[in-house]
Amino acid sequence: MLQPLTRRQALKTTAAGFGYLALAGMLGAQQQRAATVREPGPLAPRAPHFPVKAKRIIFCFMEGAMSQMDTFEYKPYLQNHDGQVATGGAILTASKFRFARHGHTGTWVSNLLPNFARHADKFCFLRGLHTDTPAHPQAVIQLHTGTAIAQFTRPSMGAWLLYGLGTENQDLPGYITINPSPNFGGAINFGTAFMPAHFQGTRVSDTGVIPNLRPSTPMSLQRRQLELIQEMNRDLARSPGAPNAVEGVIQSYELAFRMQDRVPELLNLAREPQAVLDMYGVQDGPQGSFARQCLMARRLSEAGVRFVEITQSGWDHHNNLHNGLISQSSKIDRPMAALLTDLEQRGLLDETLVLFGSEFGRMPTAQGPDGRDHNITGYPMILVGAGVKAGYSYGATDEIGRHAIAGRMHMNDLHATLLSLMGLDHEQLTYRYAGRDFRLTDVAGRVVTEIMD
Amino acid sequence: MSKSLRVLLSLSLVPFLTGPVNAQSASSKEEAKLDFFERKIRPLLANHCYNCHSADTNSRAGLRVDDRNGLLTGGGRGPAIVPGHPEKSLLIQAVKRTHKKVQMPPKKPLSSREIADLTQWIKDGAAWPGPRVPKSLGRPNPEYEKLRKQHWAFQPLRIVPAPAVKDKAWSRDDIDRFLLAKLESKGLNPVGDADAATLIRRVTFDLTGLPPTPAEVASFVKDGNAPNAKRQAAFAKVVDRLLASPAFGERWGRHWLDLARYGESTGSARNLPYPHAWRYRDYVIDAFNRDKPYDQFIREQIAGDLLPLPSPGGRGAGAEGELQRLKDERLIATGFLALGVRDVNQRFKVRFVMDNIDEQIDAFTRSMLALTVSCARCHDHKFDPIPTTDYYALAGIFHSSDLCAGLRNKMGGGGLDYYDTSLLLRLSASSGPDAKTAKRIEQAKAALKQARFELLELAENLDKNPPGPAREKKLKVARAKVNKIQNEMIALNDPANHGQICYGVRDAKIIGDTEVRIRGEAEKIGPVVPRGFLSAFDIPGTPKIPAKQSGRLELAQWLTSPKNPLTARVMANRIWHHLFGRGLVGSVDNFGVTGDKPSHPELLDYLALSFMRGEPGAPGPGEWSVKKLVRRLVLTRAYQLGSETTEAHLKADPANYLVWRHNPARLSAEEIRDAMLAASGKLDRARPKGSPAMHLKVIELTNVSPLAKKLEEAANTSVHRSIYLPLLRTLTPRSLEVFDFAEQGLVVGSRDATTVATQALYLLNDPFVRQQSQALAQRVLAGKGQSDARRITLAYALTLSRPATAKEIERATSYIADYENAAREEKSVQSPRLAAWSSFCQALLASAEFRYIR
Repeated sequence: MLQPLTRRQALKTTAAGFGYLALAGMLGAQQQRAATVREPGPLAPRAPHFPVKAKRIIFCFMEGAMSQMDTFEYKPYLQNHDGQVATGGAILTASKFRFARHGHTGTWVSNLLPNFARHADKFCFLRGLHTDTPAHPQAVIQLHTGTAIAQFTRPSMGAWLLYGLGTENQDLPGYITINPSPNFGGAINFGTAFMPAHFQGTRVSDTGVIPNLRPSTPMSLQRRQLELIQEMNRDLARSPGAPNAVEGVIQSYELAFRMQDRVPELLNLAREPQAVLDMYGVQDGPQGSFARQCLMARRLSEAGVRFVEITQSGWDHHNNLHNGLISQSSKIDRPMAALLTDLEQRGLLDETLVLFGSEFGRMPTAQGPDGRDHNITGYPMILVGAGVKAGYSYGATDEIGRHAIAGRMHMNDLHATLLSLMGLDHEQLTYRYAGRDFRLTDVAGRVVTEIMD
Repeated sequence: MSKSLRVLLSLSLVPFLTGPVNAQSASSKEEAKLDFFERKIRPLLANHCYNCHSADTNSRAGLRVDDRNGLLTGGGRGPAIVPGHPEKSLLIQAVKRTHKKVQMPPKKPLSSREIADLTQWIKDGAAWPGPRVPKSLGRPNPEYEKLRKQHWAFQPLRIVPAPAVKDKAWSRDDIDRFLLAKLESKGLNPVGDADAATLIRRVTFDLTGLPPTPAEVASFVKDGNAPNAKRQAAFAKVVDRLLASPAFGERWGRHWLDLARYGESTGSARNLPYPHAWRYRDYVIDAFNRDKPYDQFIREQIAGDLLPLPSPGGRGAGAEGELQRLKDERLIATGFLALGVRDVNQRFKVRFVMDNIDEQIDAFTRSMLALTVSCARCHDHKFDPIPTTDYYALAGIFHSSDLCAGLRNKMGGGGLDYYDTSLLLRLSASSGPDAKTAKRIEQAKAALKQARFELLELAENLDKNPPGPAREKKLKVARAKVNKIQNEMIALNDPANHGQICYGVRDAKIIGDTEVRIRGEAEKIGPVVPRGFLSAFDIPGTPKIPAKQSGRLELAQWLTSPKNPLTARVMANRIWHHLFGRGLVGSVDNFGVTGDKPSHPELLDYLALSFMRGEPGAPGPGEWSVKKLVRRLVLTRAYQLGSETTEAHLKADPANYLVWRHNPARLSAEEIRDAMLAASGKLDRARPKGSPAMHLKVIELTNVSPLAKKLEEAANTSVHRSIYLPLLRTLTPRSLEVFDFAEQGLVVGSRDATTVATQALYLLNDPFVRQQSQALAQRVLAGKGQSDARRITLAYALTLSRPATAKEIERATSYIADYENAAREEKSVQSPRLAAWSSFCQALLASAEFRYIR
């Protein structure tokens, strides 16, 4: 009956997991307790199950379902049968954009993304993806949490990664989402559901704002205040029967103080040379949102944030497909290219995995005069960087790009594969809730080793 | 489950399990029909219809034809097929193009051969291969039988006398004797009693969620450090005062709202407000304040609409007004079943319905029974003796009830599309629309018809509205017109505009048992299961479910039977958990096989029995008084223990399962915020009317909309207790979010208490904390002619409920002086003296001591 603290209890009651820094150095305190042996906190780095192929992920989320038919899925049959009736009665619609081959691999990319296409030789395509529902909200939630049953909230994939691996840089949140969807599940997409809150994603606006991060008083005054708070906390820690978590509180203030310093600096793009800002196309306003996000993502990832997600919404082209795609693509083309170039030049692409794509794809057939409807039975995503084959393509759709016919991958398979690249076994990574062991991949998921480097 | 029910169930399964497909007679005919379907019909549907009407596509008009039930239920225009009656089937009219509006497929008509095949298929009954029913379904499971007999939680409550103890003087109550006996058996003694200041802070937070005032502390400390009997008498007075305070219901009502996964919006895929949810919140608070018997509380939430009312003039009946009030209250109580997470964007009605039922089953079984029954939705429960058939026996009860949350399902709706005013419950103060409004409704109806016609014309008549830039514009204008009139109509019809409404449930028009859904998939229909309850334990005298009622009333009676082995145990354990920091069963929401075993099984039964019967050993009419149990528990010696530890205790029982000390606890998010307001003197303890969400339209709310900002602002500037903050899902107020507020989509019997840097950042920088710190500084500075030492002591009393020590006064004095000097150097600081005192007060609020009770 008497069991030692469970792992979960330990996670909840011990400190927030950053190393026990010398308080004396920072706070000028003399009365430290003798060095105590502490339990590792819930965000302390943890050993992976497998050798790690990728240390960090940057997920570039194209919310609303980017038309793969007009960007990455070149289908000669479709191009030659424009306007003809397809099986099922709909009218085939060829892309109006010009496709060309790129790089040594001769990868087909349309002229919507000329800069991004320069990296085609690095692309590892997953071309046989499929998901469960053609409705954005459920599909977005499924992409982020593994389940399309939007009624029962589950932890997001970033939360699973933190739970499994902890945080690499103890001065920073391990999971950051920039400019996330304001709807389609909203905070569910970076939430923890039944896991403790410290695994959740930290939300950052596309101008780099995090709530409560700006010191409310001049730093010198706040430093004084912090010293007082910590003295009181240490008094409490010394008293008999003090709550175990006081030690954690003390450390949470240390970390908070460092974060105030460190995080705004990381999110401050003015620190970058003009050449870099130009390469990304950083500018103010909505047009520059994605460029700013890409650059923030690189800076955060470089500093050791394990999972960074950035979002460009507005791809839901049921109508106005032509002009809509031109406008949307212009927002992401240069920033995506710059992100990959930048990561490569800094030698980060060997340890960073970039995931690019949408919650599902669009139809090869027409919807109205200038639109495409949702397609969940076959669509691509792109991986670049750590752990995956460059210039590789896994899976395929049929001759018109409607259904995945080879290398089919469900969302569960995608998640299993991503976890595996990060060193985690999706079947072992479980969390007990309501008497059941939950997984990101529920009861399914196949690791697609074929794409691994 | 009773024996007769089990027999009935197995009988009803027989024809299905042997199945029409395998049966000897008539099987060849059936096979031929299925063969016809597979050869002719399925390919036809796939080739001509799936593109727009299947699970993989948007299912235009809500219709899917890749599933028989999809065809039977149909889309927006009703059933697509009527088996046996092709002439009545919309599908046939559409493909023959005899229907005025629906002509399918839109481009290329079907051939006459294909139409003939479809007609034949429907005429022959629209055969469709059924799902494969798992062999185990409805079969007795020996493992289950064993668990029914052996698992502790399913066994009847046992009357156990308190054990003998060696130390006769220590205990004040039999509860103490149960605990002490176990400690003595392990060779441990309890630690010493808590000092008076610690104790009154602890009990005031535990019972009301608020700190004691300095005067209350001073008054108790006077007697509280006196010898045993006098202290206990003084403490009992404190406890009675707290139990009588309206703050009790605000604290304990919140515990229940955590279980009821209370929220003021749907959350999930599309976030739509529940503007009238606050009525349920207030109902819960009032129930705890009035000490509504817990069994009655449960009956009202499950079946408030069905409970018999006292007959007018009869015993217990008051004036007519009182009867109406009672009726309203019970209707509001059923909000428990309505206010969960709802995925209104679900395309398929049958999934929407079954998902909602699942949510209801999950909410009530986990909160009231601490069982995870919804695991049995897809397969027999892997650990607990809950077969799938039990799940669908319960599902039938909810399937026979309308979920009245004012919502319908629809994919990709906009504006008020999801708002369904027919799914609202009217309270007695409601009336229908008056004559003038009724006339306006008629006018709006006509206008809407016209506007819809115009829109259709523009959309479908390509000659009139050819493709091009002008087309979209015209369509947009026409759509806006339809929306505008539609909104007018809804506003005119909205019962919320003609009086008071609430959410909840009512018996549906169609009452009946429902079918097992194979692997939990809503469309995969298995055999019918009679409505009923769980078979994990037998409750003698369980009422039969009448054919013409949903069965919620009987479910409520089954739940609150004194013979139900779980209901009282689960609640007694929850109350223990909230007072002692850990339940006797640690897994408060899971009493199943994978849950924790009770640390003190005899004590748990003793508490459950006392809870039901009132005083122990005095069996009488049910009592189920939460206040009485709370009172008894806090008056025990065990509750009043100090929190200190010794090496020996830590070695023997590090997690304090045996209750040798009191567990220190982090305050909840609400307590932290309320305590700040109490310290600053800004707290308004009155209950605000309704909620900031009460005037919201039932339109999707995004996290960045001006409305969301307004709600955030309302939360940030509120000075009411935290339970009254707007609680829209995914828009949790920051003050609650940072300190592990309950996940609003889940049943939460035990909140996390994490320690993270975002909490430190919040306490250092959030405007709310800064404002309260300044107000507290102004409060302590207000007393004229007082020494700084007195002011510092007052600040300590207001925040930590204790006086400052000499050393602390010295430290604070020099801190304030130094800070003031330093602040003079900073141009941005307006008033250095106030800034220094505010900074000191903020440090108190930010200290670990402030947020822990010991």
